[in-house]
Amino acid sequence: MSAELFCLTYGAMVTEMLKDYEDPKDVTIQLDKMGFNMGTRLADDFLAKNANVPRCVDTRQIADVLCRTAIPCYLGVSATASSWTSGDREFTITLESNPLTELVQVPPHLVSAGLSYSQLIAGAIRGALEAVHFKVYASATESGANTEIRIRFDQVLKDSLPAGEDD
Amino acid sequence: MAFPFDILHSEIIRTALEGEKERCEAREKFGTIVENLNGPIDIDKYENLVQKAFLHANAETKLESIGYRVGRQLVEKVSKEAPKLVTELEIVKFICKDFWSSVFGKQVDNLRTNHQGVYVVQDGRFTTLRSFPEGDQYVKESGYFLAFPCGLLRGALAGLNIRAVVTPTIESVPSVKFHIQIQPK
Repeated sequence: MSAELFCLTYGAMVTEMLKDYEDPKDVTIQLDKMGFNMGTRLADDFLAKNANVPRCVDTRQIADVLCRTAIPCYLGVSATASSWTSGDREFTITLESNPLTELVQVPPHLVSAGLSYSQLIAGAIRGALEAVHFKVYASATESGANTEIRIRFDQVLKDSLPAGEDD
Repeated sequence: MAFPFDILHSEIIRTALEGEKERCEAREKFGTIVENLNGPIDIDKYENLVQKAFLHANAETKLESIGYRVGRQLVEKVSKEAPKLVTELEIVKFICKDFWSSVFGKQVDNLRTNHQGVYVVQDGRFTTLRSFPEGDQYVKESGYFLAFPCGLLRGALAGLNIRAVVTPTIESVPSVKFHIQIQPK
Protein backbone atom coordinates (compact mmCIF):
# COMPACT_ATOMS: atom_id res chain seq x y z
CA MET A 1 0.00 0.00 0.00
CA SER A 2 2.88 2.35 0.63
CA ALA A 3 3.58 2.31 -3.10
CA GLU A 4 0.04 3.29 -4.02
CA LEU A 5 -0.15 5.98 -1.37
CA PHE A 6 3.13 7.40 -2.57
CA CYS A 7 2.30 7.35 -6.26
CA LEU A 8 -1.25 8.65 -5.92
CA THR A 9 -0.08 11.44 -3.63
CA TYR A 10 2.61 12.36 -6.09
CA GLY A 11 0.09 12.39 -8.93
CA ALA A 12 -2.38 14.54 -7.00
CA MET A 13 0.41 16.93 -6.14
CA VAL A 14 1.51 17.30 -9.76
CA THR A 15 -2.11 17.91 -10.77
CA GLU A 16 -2.39 20.62 -8.15
CA MET A 17 0.85 22.20 -9.30
CA LEU A 18 -0.29 22.25 -12.91
CA LYS A 19 -3.26 24.30 -11.75
CA ASP A 20 -1.01 26.72 -9.88
CA TYR A 21 1.64 27.27 -12.50
CA GLU A 22 0.62 28.26 -15.97
CA ASP A 23 3.71 26.88 -17.64
CA PRO A 24 4.33 23.11 -17.31
CA LYS A 25 8.05 23.91 -17.54
CA ASP A 26 7.78 25.65 -14.16
CA VAL A 27 6.22 22.50 -12.74
CA THR A 28 9.18 20.49 -13.97
CA ILE A 29 11.56 22.94 -12.30
CA GLN A 30 9.57 22.72 -9.08
CA LEU A 31 9.54 18.90 -9.20
CA ASP A 32 13.29 18.90 -9.72
CA LYS A 33 13.73 21.13 -6.69
CA MET A 34 11.51 18.93 -4.55
CA GLY A 35 13.41 15.88 -5.71
CA PHE A 36 16.68 17.56 -4.85
CA ASN A 37 15.55 18.29 -1.30
CA MET A 38 14.28 14.75 -0.93
CA GLY A 39 17.54 13.40 -2.32
CA THR A 40 19.69 15.14 0.25
CA ARG A 41 17.63 13.52 2.98
CA LEU A 42 17.51 10.17 1.24
CA ALA A 43 21.29 10.07 0.97
CA ASP A 44 21.56 10.07 4.76
CA ASP A 45 18.85 7.46 5.08
CA PHE A 46 20.47 5.32 2.40
CA LEU A 47 23.93 5.37 3.93
CA ALA A 48 22.47 4.61 7.34
CA LYS A 49 20.70 1.54 6.00
CA ASN A 50 23.42 0.28 3.68
CA ALA A 51 26.67 0.28 5.55
CA ASN A 52 28.45 -1.91 3.01
CA VAL A 53 28.23 0.53 0.09
CA PRO A 54 31.77 1.12 -1.15
CA ARG A 55 33.34 4.50 -1.63
CA CYS A 56 32.79 5.50 -5.27
CA VAL A 57 35.81 6.63 -7.22
CA ASP A 58 34.39 6.87 -10.73
CA THR A 59 31.07 7.37 -12.51
CA ARG A 60 30.76 3.67 -13.35
CA GLN A 61 30.75 2.89 -9.67
CA ILE A 62 28.21 5.64 -8.95
CA ALA A 63 25.95 4.23 -11.64
CA ASP A 64 26.39 0.75 -10.20
CA VAL A 65 25.36 1.80 -6.70
CA LEU A 66 22.40 3.77 -8.03
CA CYS A 67 21.12 0.95 -10.23
CA ARG A 68 21.82 -2.01 -7.95
CA THR A 69 21.07 -0.60 -4.52
CA ALA A 70 19.58 2.87 -4.31
CA ILE A 71 16.83 2.72 -6.94
CA PRO A 72 15.58 -0.77 -5.96
CA CYS A 73 15.65 0.36 -2.33
CA TYR A 74 13.31 3.33 -2.80
CA LEU A 75 11.35 2.59 -5.96
CA GLY A 76 11.27 -1.19 -5.89
CA VAL A 77 12.31 -1.57 -9.52
CA SER A 78 15.57 -2.51 -11.15
CA ALA A 79 17.50 -0.16 -13.34
CA THR A 80 20.31 -0.37 -15.86
CA ALA A 81 22.97 2.10 -16.87
CA SER A 82 23.88 2.48 -20.52
CA SER A 83 24.81 4.93 -23.31
CA TRP A 84 28.11 6.02 -21.83
CA THR A 85 29.45 9.06 -23.66
CA SER A 86 32.07 11.82 -23.39
CA GLY A 87 34.61 9.70 -21.59
CA ASP A 88 32.21 8.13 -19.08
CA ARG A 89 31.02 11.53 -17.92
CA GLU A 90 27.49 11.00 -19.20
CA PHE A 91 25.23 8.02 -18.90
CA THR A 92 21.60 7.02 -18.99
CA ILE A 93 19.75 5.11 -16.29
CA THR A 94 16.76 3.22 -17.58
CA LEU A 95 13.95 2.20 -15.25
CA GLU A 96 12.21 -0.82 -16.72
CA SER A 97 8.92 0.04 -15.12
CA ASN A 98 8.35 3.27 -13.32
CA PRO A 99 6.00 3.01 -10.32
CA LEU A 100 5.30 6.74 -10.52
CA THR A 101 3.83 6.52 -14.00
CA GLU A 102 2.12 3.16 -13.56
CA LEU A 103 -1.23 4.67 -12.56
CA VAL A 104 -1.10 7.81 -14.64
CA GLN A 105 -1.31 8.86 -18.21
CA VAL A 106 0.37 12.16 -18.84
CA PRO A 107 -1.45 14.06 -21.60
CA PRO A 108 0.80 14.48 -24.67
CA HIS A 109 0.21 18.22 -24.88
CA LEU A 110 1.70 18.67 -21.41
CA VAL A 111 4.73 16.58 -22.31
CA SER A 112 5.35 18.66 -25.42
CA ALA A 113 4.88 21.81 -23.33
CA GLY A 114 7.79 20.75 -21.16
CA LEU A 115 6.34 18.72 -18.31
CA SER A 116 8.66 15.95 -17.21
CA TYR A 117 6.52 13.87 -14.85
CA SER A 118 9.32 11.82 -13.37
CA GLN A 119 11.69 14.72 -12.84
CA LEU A 120 11.34 14.06 -9.11
CA ILE A 121 13.49 10.96 -9.49
CA ALA A 122 16.13 12.84 -11.47
CA GLY A 123 16.11 15.61 -8.87
CA ALA A 124 16.45 13.08 -6.07
CA ILE A 125 19.48 11.52 -7.74
CA ARG A 126 21.01 14.95 -8.17
CA GLY A 127 20.31 15.81 -4.53
CA ALA A 128 21.58 12.52 -3.18
CA LEU A 129 24.81 12.72 -5.17
CA GLU A 130 25.34 16.32 -4.17
CA ALA A 131 25.04 15.27 -0.54
CA VAL A 132 28.04 13.01 -1.10
CA HIS A 133 29.90 15.74 -2.98
CA PHE A 134 29.29 14.77 -6.59
CA LYS A 135 27.83 17.50 -8.72
CA VAL A 136 25.75 16.11 -11.55
CA TYR A 137 22.99 17.26 -13.87
CA ALA A 138 20.04 14.96 -14.29
CA SER A 139 16.92 15.04 -16.41
CA ALA A 140 14.16 12.50 -16.92
CA THR A 141 12.34 11.54 -20.09
CA GLU A 142 9.56 9.06 -20.67
CA SER A 143 9.82 6.64 -23.57
CA GLY A 144 6.97 4.16 -23.61
CA ALA A 145 6.88 2.23 -20.35
CA ASN A 146 10.51 3.03 -19.66
CA THR A 147 11.78 6.10 -17.94
CA GLU A 148 15.21 7.29 -18.88
CA ILE A 149 17.30 9.48 -16.67
CA ARG A 150 20.22 11.14 -18.32
CA ILE A 151 22.98 11.99 -15.91
CA ARG A 152 25.91 14.25 -16.67
CA PHE A 153 28.76 14.33 -14.22
CA ASP A 154 30.09 17.81 -13.59
CA GLN A 155 32.68 17.80 -10.83
CA VAL A 156 33.62 16.55 -7.41
CA LEU A 157 32.70 19.22 -4.91
CA LYS A 158 35.34 20.16 -2.41
CA ASP A 159 34.75 21.76 0.91
CA SER A 160 31.26 22.85 -0.05
CA LEU A 161 28.40 24.16 1.97
CA PRO A 162 26.13 21.58 3.51
CA ALA A 163 23.84 20.36 0.76
CA GLY A 164 20.52 22.13 0.55
CA GLU A 165 21.73 25.45 1.92
CA ASP A 166 22.86 26.89 -1.37
CA ASP A 167 19.54 26.90 -3.25
CA MET B 1 12.20 -1.59 0.12
CA ALA B 2 10.11 1.33 1.22
CA PHE B 3 8.79 4.33 -0.60
CA PRO B 4 9.90 7.47 1.19
CA PHE B 5 6.38 8.77 1.72
CA ASP B 6 7.26 10.79 4.82
CA ILE B 7 9.92 12.69 2.95
CA LEU B 8 7.58 13.37 0.03
CA HIS B 9 4.89 14.51 2.42
CA SER B 10 7.14 16.97 4.21
CA GLU B 11 8.40 18.22 0.85
CA ILE B 12 4.80 18.84 -0.30
CA ILE B 13 4.15 20.75 2.91
CA ARG B 14 7.27 22.83 2.39
CA THR B 15 6.22 23.68 -1.16
CA ALA B 16 2.71 24.58 -0.03
CA LEU B 17 4.06 26.86 2.67
CA GLU B 18 6.43 28.47 0.20
CA GLY B 19 3.50 29.11 -2.13
CA GLU B 20 1.60 30.71 0.69
CA LYS B 21 4.50 32.95 1.55
CA GLU B 22 4.73 34.06 -2.08
CA ARG B 23 1.02 34.76 -2.08
CA CYS B 24 1.25 36.90 1.05
CA GLU B 25 4.15 38.86 -0.41
CA ALA B 26 2.23 39.40 -3.64
CA ARG B 27 -0.78 40.63 -1.69
CA GLU B 28 1.30 43.09 0.24
CA LYS B 29 2.95 44.38 -2.90
CA PHE B 30 -0.41 44.60 -4.58
CA GLY B 31 -1.76 46.61 -1.68
CA THR B 32 0.92 49.27 -2.02
CA ILE B 33 0.53 49.36 -5.80
CA VAL B 34 -3.22 49.85 -5.61
CA GLU B 35 -2.76 52.90 -3.42
CA ASN B 36 -0.53 54.59 -5.97
CA LEU B 37 -2.59 53.65 -8.98
CA ASN B 38 -3.70 56.33 -11.45
CA GLY B 39 -6.66 54.52 -12.89
CA PRO B 40 -8.11 51.14 -13.68
CA ILE B 41 -6.10 50.88 -16.91
CA ASP B 42 -2.85 50.60 -15.02
CA ILE B 43 -3.91 47.44 -13.30
CA ASP B 44 -3.41 45.40 -16.47
CA LYS B 45 0.32 45.93 -16.12
CA TYR B 46 0.27 43.94 -12.90
CA GLU B 47 -1.77 41.03 -14.11
CA ASN B 48 0.85 38.51 -13.04
CA LEU B 49 0.93 39.91 -9.56
CA VAL B 50 -2.84 40.00 -9.27
CA GLN B 51 -3.06 36.38 -10.28
CA LYS B 52 -0.47 35.35 -7.78
CA ALA B 53 -2.14 37.30 -5.01
CA PHE B 54 -5.60 35.94 -5.50
CA LEU B 55 -5.33 32.57 -7.19
CA HIS B 56 -3.51 30.43 -4.68
CA ALA B 57 -5.47 28.82 -1.91
CA ASN B 58 -3.78 28.76 1.47
CA ALA B 59 -1.41 25.95 2.39
CA GLU B 60 -3.82 23.85 4.46
CA THR B 61 -6.55 24.05 1.83
CA LYS B 62 -4.15 22.93 -0.83
CA LEU B 63 -2.85 20.02 1.23
CA GLU B 64 -6.38 19.05 2.11
CA SER B 65 -7.50 18.99 -1.49
CA ILE B 66 -4.54 16.84 -2.50
CA GLY B 67 -5.51 14.46 0.29
CA TYR B 68 -9.13 14.40 -0.80
CA ARG B 69 -8.18 13.30 -4.28
CA VAL B 70 -5.89 10.57 -3.00
CA GLY B 71 -8.48 9.39 -0.46
CA ARG B 72 -11.15 8.94 -3.09
CA GLN B 73 -8.85 6.83 -5.22
CA LEU B 74 -7.39 4.80 -2.38
CA VAL B 75 -10.71 3.88 -0.82
CA GLU B 76 -11.78 2.22 -4.03
CA LYS B 77 -8.77 -0.05 -3.91
CA VAL B 78 -9.19 -0.86 -0.24
CA SER B 79 -12.94 -1.48 -0.38
CA LYS B 80 -12.75 -3.69 -3.46
CA GLU B 81 -12.90 -6.90 -1.43
CA ALA B 82 -15.00 -5.56 1.41
CA PRO B 83 -18.51 -6.80 2.13
CA LYS B 84 -21.32 -4.42 1.33
CA LEU B 85 -21.34 -1.48 3.68
CA VAL B 86 -24.86 -0.32 4.40
CA THR B 87 -25.12 1.86 7.47
CA GLU B 88 -23.16 4.98 8.25
CA LEU B 89 -21.64 3.31 11.31
CA GLU B 90 -20.44 0.38 9.22
CA ILE B 91 -18.73 2.73 6.81
CA VAL B 92 -17.01 4.72 9.54
CA LYS B 93 -15.92 1.46 11.17
CA PHE B 94 -14.52 0.28 7.87
CA ILE B 95 -12.55 3.51 7.52
CA CYS B 96 -11.16 3.15 11.03
CA LYS B 97 -10.19 -0.49 10.65
CA ASP B 98 -9.38 -1.56 7.11
CA PHE B 99 -8.68 1.76 5.47
CA TRP B 100 -6.69 3.11 8.40
CA SER B 101 -4.50 0.05 8.75
CA SER B 102 -3.74 -0.24 5.06
CA VAL B 103 -2.93 3.44 4.65
CA PHE B 104 -1.50 4.48 8.00
CA GLY B 105 -0.15 1.08 9.02
CA LYS B 106 -2.19 0.60 12.21
CA GLN B 107 -5.77 0.67 13.43
CA VAL B 108 -7.25 3.55 15.38
CA ASP B 109 -7.12 3.36 19.15
CA ASN B 110 -10.59 4.62 19.92
CA LEU B 111 -13.82 5.42 18.11
CA ARG B 112 -16.72 7.22 19.75
CA THR B 113 -19.98 8.51 18.43
CA ASN B 114 -22.97 10.40 19.72
CA HIS B 115 -25.19 8.53 17.22
CA GLN B 116 -26.17 11.85 15.72
CA GLY B 117 -23.61 12.12 13.00
CA VAL B 118 -20.54 13.03 15.03
CA TYR B 119 -17.67 10.57 15.34
CA VAL B 120 -14.47 11.09 17.25
CA VAL B 121 -11.56 8.94 16.17
CA GLN B 122 -8.50 8.78 18.33
CA ASP B 123 -5.08 7.67 17.21
CA GLY B 124 -2.46 7.72 19.92
CA ARG B 125 0.48 7.51 17.56
CA PHE B 126 -0.43 9.06 14.26
CA THR B 127 1.81 8.14 11.36
CA THR B 128 2.57 11.58 9.90
CA LEU B 129 3.61 12.87 13.33
CA ARG B 130 6.05 10.08 14.09
CA SER B 131 9.09 12.23 13.41
CA PHE B 132 8.03 14.89 15.93
CA PRO B 133 9.28 14.81 19.50
CA GLU B 134 6.56 13.92 21.95
CA GLY B 135 4.90 16.63 24.01
CA ASP B 136 3.16 19.90 23.35
CA GLN B 137 6.11 21.81 21.93
CA TYR B 138 5.21 21.42 18.25
CA VAL B 139 1.42 21.33 18.42
CA LYS B 140 1.11 24.35 16.14
CA GLU B 141 3.46 23.06 13.45
CA SER B 142 1.87 19.63 13.47
CA GLY B 143 -1.31 21.18 12.06
CA TYR B 144 0.27 21.25 8.61
CA PHE B 145 1.07 17.56 8.89
CA LEU B 146 -2.59 16.77 9.52
CA ALA B 147 -4.18 18.69 6.65
CA PHE B 148 -3.34 15.98 4.12
CA PRO B 149 -4.63 13.08 6.29
CA CYS B 150 -7.84 15.02 6.98
CA GLY B 151 -8.40 15.38 3.26
CA LEU B 152 -7.58 11.71 2.85
CA LEU B 153 -10.31 10.74 5.32
CA ARG B 154 -12.84 13.14 3.83
CA GLY B 155 -12.06 11.76 0.37
CA ALA B 156 -12.36 8.17 1.56
CA LEU B 157 -15.75 8.88 3.15
CA ALA B 158 -16.88 10.69 0.02
CA GLY B 159 -15.88 7.63 -2.00
CA LEU B 160 -18.24 5.58 0.17
CA ASN B 161 -21.02 8.10 -0.33
CA ILE B 162 -20.79 10.00 2.93
CA ARG B 163 -20.29 13.73 2.95
CA ALA B 164 -18.43 14.81 6.03
CA VAL B 165 -16.27 17.51 7.55
CA VAL B 166 -13.08 16.22 9.15
CA THR B 167 -11.14 18.33 11.63
CA PRO B 168 -8.19 17.34 13.81
CA THR B 169 -7.43 18.25 17.40
CA ILE B 170 -4.05 17.73 18.96
CA GLU B 171 -3.32 18.14 22.59
CA SER B 172 -0.03 16.38 22.75
CA VAL B 173 2.00 15.10 19.78
CA PRO B 174 1.73 12.38 18.41
CA SER B 175 -1.80 11.76 19.67
CA VAL B 176 -4.55 13.06 17.40
CA LYS B 177 -8.33 13.18 17.60
CA PHE B 178 -10.20 13.46 14.33
CA HIS B 179 -13.72 14.81 14.49
CA ILE B 180 -15.87 13.49 11.70
CA GLN B 181 -19.06 15.44 11.28
CA ILE B 182 -21.45 13.85 8.84
CA GLN B 183 -23.28 16.30 6.60
CA PRO B 184 -26.92 15.73 5.71
CA LYS B 185 -27.37 14.40 2.18
